[in-house]
Amino acid sequence: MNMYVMMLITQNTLCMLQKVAGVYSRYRINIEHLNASRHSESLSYWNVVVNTSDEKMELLINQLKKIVGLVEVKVIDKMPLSETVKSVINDKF
Amino acid sequence: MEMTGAQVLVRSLLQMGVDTVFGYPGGAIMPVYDALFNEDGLRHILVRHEQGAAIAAEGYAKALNKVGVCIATSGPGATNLVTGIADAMLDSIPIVCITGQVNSFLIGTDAFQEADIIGMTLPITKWNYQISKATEIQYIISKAFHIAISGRPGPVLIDITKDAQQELLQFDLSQINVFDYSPDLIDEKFYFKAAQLINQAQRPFILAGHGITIAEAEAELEGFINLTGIPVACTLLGLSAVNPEHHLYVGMLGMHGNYAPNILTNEADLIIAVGMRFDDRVTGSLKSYAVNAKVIHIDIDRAELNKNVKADVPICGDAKVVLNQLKQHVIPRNHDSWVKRFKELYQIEHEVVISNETQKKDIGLIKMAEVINLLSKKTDGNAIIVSDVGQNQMTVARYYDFKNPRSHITSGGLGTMGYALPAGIGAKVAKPNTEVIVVCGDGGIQMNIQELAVIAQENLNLKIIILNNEYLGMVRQWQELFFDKRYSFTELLNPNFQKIAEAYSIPSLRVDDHSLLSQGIDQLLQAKTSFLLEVMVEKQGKVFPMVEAGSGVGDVRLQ
Ligand SMILES: Cc1ncc(C[n+]2csc(CCOP(=O)(O)OP(=O)(O)O)c2C)c(N)n1
Ligand SMILES: [Mg+2]
Repeated sequence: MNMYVMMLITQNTLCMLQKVAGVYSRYRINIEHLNASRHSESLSYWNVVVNTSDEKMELLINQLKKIVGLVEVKVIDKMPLSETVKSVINDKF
Repeated sequence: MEMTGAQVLVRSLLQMGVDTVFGYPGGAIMPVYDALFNEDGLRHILVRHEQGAAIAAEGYAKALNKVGVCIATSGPGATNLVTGIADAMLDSIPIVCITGQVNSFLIGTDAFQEADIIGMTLPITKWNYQISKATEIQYIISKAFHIAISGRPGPVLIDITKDAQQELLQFDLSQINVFDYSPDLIDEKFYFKAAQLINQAQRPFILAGHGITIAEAEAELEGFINLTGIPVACTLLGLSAVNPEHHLYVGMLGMHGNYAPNILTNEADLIIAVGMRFDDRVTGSLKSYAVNAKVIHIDIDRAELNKNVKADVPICGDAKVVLNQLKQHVIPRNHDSWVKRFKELYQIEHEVVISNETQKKDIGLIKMAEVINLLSKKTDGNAIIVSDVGQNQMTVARYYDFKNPRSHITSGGLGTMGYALPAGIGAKVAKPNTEVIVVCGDGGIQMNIQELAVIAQENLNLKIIILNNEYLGMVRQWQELFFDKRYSFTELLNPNFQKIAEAYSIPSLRVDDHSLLSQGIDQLLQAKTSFLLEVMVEKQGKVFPMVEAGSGVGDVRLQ
């Protein structure tokens, strides 16, 4: 198990949150932290933090890439999950 | 030119090359139906349940490799489409579903026949979108068709509010939106790596899936196996991609596939999977799958690579392009002794299973395989067979020799009972001059039996065979084998199918004796109209070989 910080850029349209969240829930990956904001006129910028494994992360990213309107998805940080990190995540958000 | 949104929708469909739609009207889609009235360029086929419309669009799409279109009203009309949409999603079938929606100012008020079909179909569509302004219609329809057919095909749903359908706008007939599609370029190094594995392999084995048919790569595949001498097996949806008479064709993979391709998956030292997704019905337990093999996996959908089976060389691309390229890098070889292993194991399967199942006997009840084997011979493998789900489906897959691409139509991924009749209607509408035969169980036919009315109304010369075992046969088989013969709610007291056929003006015949079977099939095939043939078959019949759920392909059972 690792903690991953993900960056997504999507079109700023109706239902995008549902579409993205649907993929996480289908892979049974809990979203620990989510921040979405307007990036430009037509795009949204997202930060998503999840705890999962490398294998599941690969599946998740491949499926996210299939969403029409998702422009980019990347893992920007990854760290092994320790109890301290877990509690920090919980405290912080 | 001033038009309503509904008229623009119909124009846009015509611009996309649509000539046939399957649908069912209702309040929220009435402006579109009004625009369809007297529209000569579009044939509208009125189904009797919206599930039939979605599945008929699938059958149409599969027969032609073209986008199928269905139309339904809001609320119950839209929710009735859901099973067909999920089916198209799992089997990568390009369909565009158009649903009416309540007026945009009523959305969210629990208005009459309001249902959030966008929310409901999010996980089972490749894309969906709600149009609430008429100006969006043309662009969104072109985008819908583009998404449905490009890359890995799939269903798209477009929900249109009633006010958008009624809104007046200036429409420019000459305006066309063109979407470009080009899959990512494939790095040459993958071809080198793959070719190296192929050129060195001692026991290579090709697994061909639906992707071959979708990419129309049948000829490329044949060229590739002719050159490399590698034996090839098909998945359920891959059937009809390779001529069964080809000396390198070794049969079907999977739970009820052939003995040799299952067993030898674990002896192969190289698996080349093309346009298939290692479904659990193909692999059985992944722990004991392809244990000795390196894997080259070719698929247009990157998300399928490394999803179930790790690939040593994953290649994301169109099967036709990749096979053509790969061919330039491989050397001519033959694998005679390896191919002979398949033929030897086939002989065992033949002795233990096939000969028993297919041979005509004088006593006892008819077996399903006997019917399909005879049908295959009498049509010379040239008909389009649309099967349902269950034992009838597996028997068709095992015993019909599909000679032409796209001639096997069935619900693979979702296993949707009730599929065959509406899909058969779609296929017959698509290919009116080809013999299209629906093969269905006594259970499955009753799931969309209302669609028999379409056959009469549209004057379709569709043939139907009901393999009647008076059971939900496939479930019964599992109960016998794995649930201690506790036949819980699988016995069917059926209606009189001949009377039903008669009520729908369809000529019919019932056969319950071996001596009448051949004649019965002749009568079905010779009929100039639609025809329903009911064959009473063995109740206790079981489909073998079988890879039990949870076991490995190497443990395939012959009995
Ligand atoms: C809509 C739907 N419901 C239930 C099932 C589960 N199921 C799979 S095969 C089968 C039995 C089919 O019986 P029948 O149509 O008579 O075909 P047979 O197996 O007897 O040839 C059932 C109930 C299914 N696949 N689809
Ligand atoms: Mg049955």
